[in-house]
Amino acid sequence: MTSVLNFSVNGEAVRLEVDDDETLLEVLRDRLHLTGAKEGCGEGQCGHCTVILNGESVNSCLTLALEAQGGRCLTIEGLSSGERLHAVQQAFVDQGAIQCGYCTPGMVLSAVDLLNKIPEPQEHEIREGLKGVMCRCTGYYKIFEAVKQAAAAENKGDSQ
Amino acid sequence: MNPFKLIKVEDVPQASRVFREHPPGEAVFMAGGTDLLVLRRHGLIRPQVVIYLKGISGLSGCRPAGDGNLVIGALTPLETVARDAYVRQAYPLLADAAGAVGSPQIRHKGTIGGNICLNSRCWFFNRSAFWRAEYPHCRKASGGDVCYVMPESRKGCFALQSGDTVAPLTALGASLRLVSDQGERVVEIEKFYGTDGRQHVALAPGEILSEIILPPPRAKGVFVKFRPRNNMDFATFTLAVLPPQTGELIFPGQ
Repeated sequence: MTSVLNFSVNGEAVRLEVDDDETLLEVLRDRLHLTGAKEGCGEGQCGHCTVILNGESVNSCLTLALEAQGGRCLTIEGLSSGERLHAVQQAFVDQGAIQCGYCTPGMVLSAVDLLNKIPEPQEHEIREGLKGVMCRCTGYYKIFEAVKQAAAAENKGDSQ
Repeated sequence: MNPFKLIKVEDVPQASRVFREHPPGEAVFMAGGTDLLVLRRHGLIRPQVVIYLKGISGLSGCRPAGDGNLVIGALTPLETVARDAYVRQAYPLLADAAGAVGSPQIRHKGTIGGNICLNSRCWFFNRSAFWRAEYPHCRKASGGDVCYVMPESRKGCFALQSGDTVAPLTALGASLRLVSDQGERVVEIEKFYGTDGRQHVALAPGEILSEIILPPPRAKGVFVKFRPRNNMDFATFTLAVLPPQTGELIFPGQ
């Protein structure tokens, strides 16, 4: 079974025919070639497929493409404004909060979702906000530091 | 994985009708899908038809009802329950439980109704086909005749209900409204669960949990969740405690 899916990805209208059982992650990666979102586990444990759908972070591997019908999807590719990085991206660069980079799109989008809801998060709120993304390289401390920097920058009106 | 057909429905009677138009086992209901799509991926369910419930209006959100009750729509996302100002103030153990499920990503999609109706789980059943191939099928998987949780048992399945919100809802004395195209009934939550993991909820074919009804708040209570991986995991067990109603001591003499 196929259906026509109309939704917006990173601000651009997209219309394509998808299978009923196709996931949003498959559509983003295999059809639209937006490979920032990754499939780590495919069952909601690792969070590397995180995208922001209608203002909320979701696991795109556990989201059917047709659930995005008429919706707005933001992926890591749509976060910066041209060359200008989003405050969270800039903070990850500044703090060196990246090793292999595989989890980074999910981490960054989780942090964006967190800061949209809690502009000045406490340490425990940062941990809770990022718990859906797993990093296997190292500790999470530089990532937490990056989120704190981004929060401070955004609250100074330093961001876009 | 066999392909399925997705049917979006607009109201509960339509969902119920579509479900019963298909042979048993062919159609499933999906709200958030955060457990259902994993079960399918592991080959534990093979639906031909997925009935998508999230388009049903009026079943999302918390609203006060008469007599001080609170009604929570079954399609309310778990994150919404966890952050709802009134739930946090009046039923904090429920807000804590809803917030203990998975990750923010899971709670944005997953619903409280889905958490209550969550398929029973165990370490031997909820694995990929590769890992399940280690042993012959269990009783919950088709064709098996052993339960690896209780290998000495002669019958039954000991997979457990693992919804984090179930313990606090039980402590709070919640009732569930179950609706189909043939009518509706309200059952107390502790009567909703059975003892066999293969048929652990009392939903008739085509019946849908539409609302959770909470009696007026009377005490704060506490919620505790034990899980193998503290960051994010299904519970090994959950505990919800409310002080007794009439004010008598729990342990007389102390």
